[in-house]
Amino acid sequence: MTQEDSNAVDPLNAQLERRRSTVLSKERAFLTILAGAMYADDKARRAESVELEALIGRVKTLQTIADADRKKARDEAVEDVKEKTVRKDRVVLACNALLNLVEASAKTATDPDKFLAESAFAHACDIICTDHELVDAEKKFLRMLEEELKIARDRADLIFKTIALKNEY
Amino acid sequence: MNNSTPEDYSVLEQQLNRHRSSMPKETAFITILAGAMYADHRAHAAEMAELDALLNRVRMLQAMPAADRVARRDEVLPGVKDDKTRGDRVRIACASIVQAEKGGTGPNDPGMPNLAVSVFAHACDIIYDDLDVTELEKTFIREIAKHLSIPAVDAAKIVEIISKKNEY
Repeated sequence: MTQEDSNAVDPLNAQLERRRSTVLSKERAFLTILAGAMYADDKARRAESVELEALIGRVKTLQTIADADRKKARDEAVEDVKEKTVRKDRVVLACNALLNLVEASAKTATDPDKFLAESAFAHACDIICTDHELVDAEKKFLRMLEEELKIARDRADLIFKTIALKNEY
Repeated sequence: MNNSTPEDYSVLEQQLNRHRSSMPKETAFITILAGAMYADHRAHAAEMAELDALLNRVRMLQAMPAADRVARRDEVLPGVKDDKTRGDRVRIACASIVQAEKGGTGPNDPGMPNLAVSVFAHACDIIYDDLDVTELEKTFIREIAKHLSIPAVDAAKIVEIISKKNEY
């Protein structure tokens, strides 16, 4: 049963799905997804943590955060996703926030954020592939991300394959 | 001996090409990444820091002690900083990577599948890091794709994914 089918027979579900959360800023949503990728297997390995640190320093979206505030922003995002019980919820919230931004920019901006979702997904792949080990929990996390960010399966596979090849050596 | 025609020089060419220069795969890896950094004929302090961070985390160089990595980087940098020698050093590095990917004839050297593609993707990541991609950098990407024997269609897919990743 698709989401639409389920909504058709379940009015409560339809109402609950009517609004997406918009509380997260682009920067916070991006950081939450990256931190979520780092904790996808419930452990933050050193290589992944170093990669997250390096990404925070160079990812374009996060350049709007002042240097002094980056550590605080990272710590807050990490705190959000550390606990397995809330991780998925926080990451789904972050994905929704990014999708809302994509939709809003498509309506108003001359240069819409067309690739924002794919970019976040690719950065998450980069973090997960850093330690050269892909466990089931990480695969699941990426599939969840692909779904929540509404990236087509073949497109997500191509992004993952490219990033995995890069990290092979 | 003194009456050589231009055609005769093909014999000389054959001899000159009999021995190809090569470098160890680790040096070749660093050369291509550093070459990407200097592709626009300038490297900012932030980019140098990024190169160092990258050299510390790429799998290819993990087996090397940190001090050796720094020594190898310092050995490579003068050759790629200089506009006159960069192209030649990167070309030799690409040939060495292609050779390492193929491996030798013995069982102890089975080759390294996907090595060329991996190096190419890392180089693209460095160049697209600041999204300010100049004509010199585009030329560099075209050149290494050719020298690493990566089909244009595959190279284009890698550039597309890496550039979109770095867009945000």
